[in-house]
Amino acid sequence: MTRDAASPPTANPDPTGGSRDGWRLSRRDLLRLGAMAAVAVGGVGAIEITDRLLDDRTGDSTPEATRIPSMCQMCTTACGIIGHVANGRLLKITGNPKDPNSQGAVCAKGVAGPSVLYDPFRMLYPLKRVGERGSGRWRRITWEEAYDEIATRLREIRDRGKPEEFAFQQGRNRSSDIVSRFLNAYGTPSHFNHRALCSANRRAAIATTIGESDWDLGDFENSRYVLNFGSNWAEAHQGHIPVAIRMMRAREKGARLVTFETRMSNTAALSDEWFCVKPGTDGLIALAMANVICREGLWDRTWLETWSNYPPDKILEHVAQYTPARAEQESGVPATTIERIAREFAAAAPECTTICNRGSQAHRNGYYNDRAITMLNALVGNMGKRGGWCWHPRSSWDKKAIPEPEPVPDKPTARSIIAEAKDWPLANAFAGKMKVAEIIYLWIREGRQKISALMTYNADTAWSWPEAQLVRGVLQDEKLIPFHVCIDVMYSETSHLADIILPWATYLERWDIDARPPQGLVDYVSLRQPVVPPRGESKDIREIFPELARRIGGGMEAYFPWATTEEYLEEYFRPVPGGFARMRADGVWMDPTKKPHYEPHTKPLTAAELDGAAEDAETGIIYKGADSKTGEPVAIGIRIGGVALRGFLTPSRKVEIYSDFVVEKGKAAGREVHPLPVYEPIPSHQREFPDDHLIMTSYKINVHNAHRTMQSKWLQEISHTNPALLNRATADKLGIGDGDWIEVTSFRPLDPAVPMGDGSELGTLRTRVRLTEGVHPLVIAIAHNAGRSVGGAYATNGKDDAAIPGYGEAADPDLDRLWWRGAISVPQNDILPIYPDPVAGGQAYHDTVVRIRKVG
Amino acid sequence: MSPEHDAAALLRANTAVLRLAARLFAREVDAPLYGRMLATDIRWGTGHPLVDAPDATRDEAVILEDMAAEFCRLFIGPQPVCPPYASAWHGEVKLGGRPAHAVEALMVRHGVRPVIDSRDAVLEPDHISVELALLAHFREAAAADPTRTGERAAVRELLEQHIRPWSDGFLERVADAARMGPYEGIAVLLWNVLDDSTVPTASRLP
Ligand code: SF4
Repeated sequence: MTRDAASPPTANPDPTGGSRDGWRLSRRDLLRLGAMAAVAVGGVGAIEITDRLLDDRTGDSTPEATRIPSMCQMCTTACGIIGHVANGRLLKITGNPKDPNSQGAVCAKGVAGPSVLYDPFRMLYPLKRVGERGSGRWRRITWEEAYDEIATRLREIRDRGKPEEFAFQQGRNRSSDIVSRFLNAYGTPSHFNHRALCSANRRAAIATTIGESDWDLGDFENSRYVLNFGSNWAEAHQGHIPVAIRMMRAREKGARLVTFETRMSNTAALSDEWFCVKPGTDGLIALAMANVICREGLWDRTWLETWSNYPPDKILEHVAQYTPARAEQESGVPATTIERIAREFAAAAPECTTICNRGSQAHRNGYYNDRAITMLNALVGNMGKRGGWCWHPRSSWDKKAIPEPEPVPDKPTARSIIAEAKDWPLANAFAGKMKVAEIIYLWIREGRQKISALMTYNADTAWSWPEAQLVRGVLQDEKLIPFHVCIDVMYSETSHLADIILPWATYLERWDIDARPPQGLVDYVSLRQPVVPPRGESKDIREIFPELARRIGGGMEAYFPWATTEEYLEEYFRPVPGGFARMRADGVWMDPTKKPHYEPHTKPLTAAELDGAAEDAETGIIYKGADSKTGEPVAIGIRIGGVALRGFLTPSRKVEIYSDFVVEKGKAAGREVHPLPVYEPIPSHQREFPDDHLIMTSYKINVHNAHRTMQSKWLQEISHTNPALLNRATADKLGIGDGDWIEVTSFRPLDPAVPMGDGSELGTLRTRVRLTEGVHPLVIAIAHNAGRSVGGAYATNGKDDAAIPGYGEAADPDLDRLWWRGAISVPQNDILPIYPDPVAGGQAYHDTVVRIRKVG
Repeated sequence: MSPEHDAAALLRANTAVLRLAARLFAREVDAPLYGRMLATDIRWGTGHPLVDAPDATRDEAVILEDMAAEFCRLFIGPQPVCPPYASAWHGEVKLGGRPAHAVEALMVRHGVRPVIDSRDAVLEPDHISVELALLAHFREAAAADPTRTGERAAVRELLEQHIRPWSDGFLERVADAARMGPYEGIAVLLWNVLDDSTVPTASRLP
C-alpha cells in the first residue's frame, strides 16, 4: 500500500493527529482480510512458539551474577573492568582491582558501558546503501554478501598491484595486532591513524629528548611537586584514571599541584594553584623557569654534566634570552610567580615532575613547547628517579616476552604519500608512527594519492576531524572515494557516507590482547574478553579480517591459520604462566619479578654485552654490531666515569637537550628545525587583536570522549551542552551578556608553513555564551565533543526527533525527562582549520583566530 | 453461520493476522512471501491491502530491494523510524530492559520459547513479533481447550501488560511512516485484531 494511494472506504489508515477512528474495520472485512493473511503467511517463515526448551534454560530468572574481567574502551585508557552478568545480560561494570594501572577504579564513562551495549541506535546488521551515497537509504544484507562484495573490491585492487590504493582509516584502535596483520598481509601502507589529532607533538618532543620512549609517566604517587602544563588528567587524559588516582594519593600525602592552563578545567580546580595562560606560551614559561633555575644555580649540575649532551653553561647561555619578564609579557603569568614556581619545583627535586599534554602541545609551536617542558626535568636531575619524571620503553605489553604468533607478515613495500607525510620532518621520524592525520582528506582531494577503497574503523572523521565539512565533501565524492566500508558501533556522520556498514561489536563483546603505558612503571598484559555475546549480527574485526583474507586470497589467508579468535589468543598468551585460562580468570598479568623502570640509563652493561664491543674514545659511546639495513654501528651504551652504562637511547646516549637528529630531519624535509628547545611565537597571533578577535580553544567534557559517548543517554544527561566560555571582562567590552547568542567566525592561520594558510575566513557557528572568570580574556573556549547531527534524540539533544519518531514524546516517556532538549550543542570541528605544527604535524587545536559578534 | 462457527472463523482470521504481522515486522518481504501476498485476490478500498499496485515496468527484484530498504528504514535503522521493541517505547535506557525481562519471565513460567530464524532481525523477547507470536500461540491453545486457564491468563497478561501499552503508538507510527509495501495495511489490520483480542470467553469461543 503506498502512502499516496487513496484510502480505502472501510479503513482510513491516516492516523494524523493520533486519531485512529477511521481504522475500524467491519467484522466482515476483518474475517475477509484475516483469511487473506492466513493464505499469505502460510509456510513463509513466521516466528513459531515451541515448548521444547533449550538446555541452558533453567527457569531461574535470578541467578547469581557472574563476574567477568575485561578491559574498558569507552576511552583509550583501557582500564581493567569487571562485567557483572546475569541471565546473559550485563548488569553493571565495576573496576578490576587486579589491573595494575587503574587498580579497580573506573570513571563515569566506564560505568556507562551498558548504555552503549544496549543502545537502541546501535547498528546491528550489515547494511548496504540503496540509492545515492549519503541519502540515508539502506537495506540489510547478509554477512555473506558483505564479505563477497568487499573481498571482490579489495582483491581487484591488490591484483592490480596497487595495494596502497586501499586505505584504512582508524580511530581508537585497541586491536593493533590484528589490524597490522591484515593490512601488512594485504600490503597496503595507507594505514591512517589519528595520532596527529591527539599527541604527535608531545611524543616527538619526548622521543627527541630521551629516545627510549615518546610518553612520560611521571611518578606522581611518590612526587612532592607536580608542574602541569595543560594536561587535563582529571577529565580526559590518555592515562586518565591511572594518572588521576596517583595524583590524588600524592595530594593526600601533601604534594603540591600547580597547573598552567587557559581554562579553569576540573584539573585546574583540583590543583593548589592555577595560572591562566595565553594559548601557545607554555613553552616560554618553561624556558623562563629554566632561565631562573640555571641563573640561580638551582640545577643539578652534576647530573647535567653527566647526562646532558649539552653543557650546563651552554644551556644557561641559551635560556638567557627567555627572561621571566618576557614570559610575563607574552603569557600573562607574572614574572615573580614564574620565579617562585621555578624555585619551588627545583627545591622539590628529584621528587618533582612535569606533566603536559594538549594544553601545551596541541599548538602550532607544540613540539617546541614540550621540548622546553621536558628539559626542565633534566635541569633539576629528576629524570628516571623515584617521584620524578619517568617513562617506560613499552607503551603496551612486553612484545619480546609475549610475541605475536607466527606467521607474521612483513611490512608493506608499497609507498603511501599520505602516510609518509614527508613535509613534516618529525611526523614519522620515531618508532611509533605519528603521520599527519589532518591532511589526509585534503591530500585525497588534491589528488596526491589515489584511493580506490577506504575502510573506516571506529573513526568518525566526517564529524571529529578538523574541517570536518571538507572530510564530508571527500567522502561524498565517489570519484575520490569509489568504495567506502565503515566498521562502527553507532551510526555517525561517517557511516552516513559509506557504501557498506559493518556492525562492529562493542568492547564488551569482543577479544583483545591489550595494555597501556604502565603508570606504575612495570609493564603488564591484559585481556579484553566478551562479557556478553555480540548483539544482533555485530562482529569484531578479529572475525571479519580473517574471513576477508581468506576470500581475498593471494597468500593473505596464510597469515590467519587459526580457526577462532580463542585459538589465536590461546597461542598468544602461551608465555604467560597459566596461559589463556589464567588471563580469562584474572583479566591481567604482570611479571612479579620485574621492578619499576627507574633510571634505566644507569644500568651497567654486562660482560656479555661488552664482549666484542668497541668504544668511541672521544664520546665514550660503546658500539656493537651493525644495523642490518644501514650498516651503521649500533650503539649499546656509553662509558660514564669509567663505567660502561646503558645510557639513554638517543644518538648521543645522553639526554638530548641539543639534537642534531632533528636538524637533519628538518633539512631532509626542507624545513628548519631548531636543535634546542626554543620559543617560537605563533605567527598568526603576532598581531593586534581588536576587541572582537579572540583565540578559539577546544577541550573535552569529562564524561565524553571524542567520538562514541554522545549516544549514551546516561552520559548525555550528565553533560550535553557546549556553550562558548568567555571571560567577563572581554564580554563587557563587547556588550555581551551571559546567555547571549553570538556568531563565531573562524580564520585559517596566516602562515605559509600551514596548508591553505592564507588567513582566509573558514566557517561560522552560532552559539550562546557562558560568562566566566575561568578562561583567558583573549580566549573563547568551546568543547569539541558536541554538535552531532545524527545519532538519536539523546545524542542530538532532541534535534532529530522528526527523524526518529520512534523516540517521540508519545512513544518514549523518558523523553519527558530529556530536560536538556534543545540545549546548545555545536560542532566546533567544522570551523577548526587544518593546522599542523610544521615540525611534527600535530594539530593546533588551540590557535584558531576567530571574530565574534553578538546576534539575535 | 452459527455464533460458534463465526467465533472460530474470527479466531482463525485473527491469529493469521498476528502471525503475518509477526513475520512482516521480523524480516524483509522475500520472493515467496511477496508471491503469496500478490496471489491473494483481495481488494480493500481501491487496492490490495498489502501489496502496492503492480508496476509492469519494474522488476520484481527491484521491488523487493525497495521493500527491503523500507523495512530497514522502519525497523532496523540506522535510527529506525519505528523501533520494534517495547523497551524503546517504554523509555527504557537500554534495549532489552524491563519489558524484555517481563516477557522472558512469562515464557519461562509457561515453558515456551520463540524459534527465531537466523534471518529474523529479532534480538529481544519484547520485539513486537515475539509478542504477537506468543499471543497467537496462547490464543489458539486457550481456544483448543477452554479448561486451560493458564493460557487464558497468558493471553490477558500479554495483551494488557506487554502489547497494548505500546502497540497503539507503534502501529500508528508504522502506518504514518510507511511509504510502501505491506506495512501500513498490516498496521491497520493488526490494530483491529488487537482491539478485538479480548480474553476468550465461552460465548466468543467455539
Ligand atoms: S578512563 Fe577511559 S578506560 Fe578508564 S574507565 Fe574511564 S572511560 Fe574507561
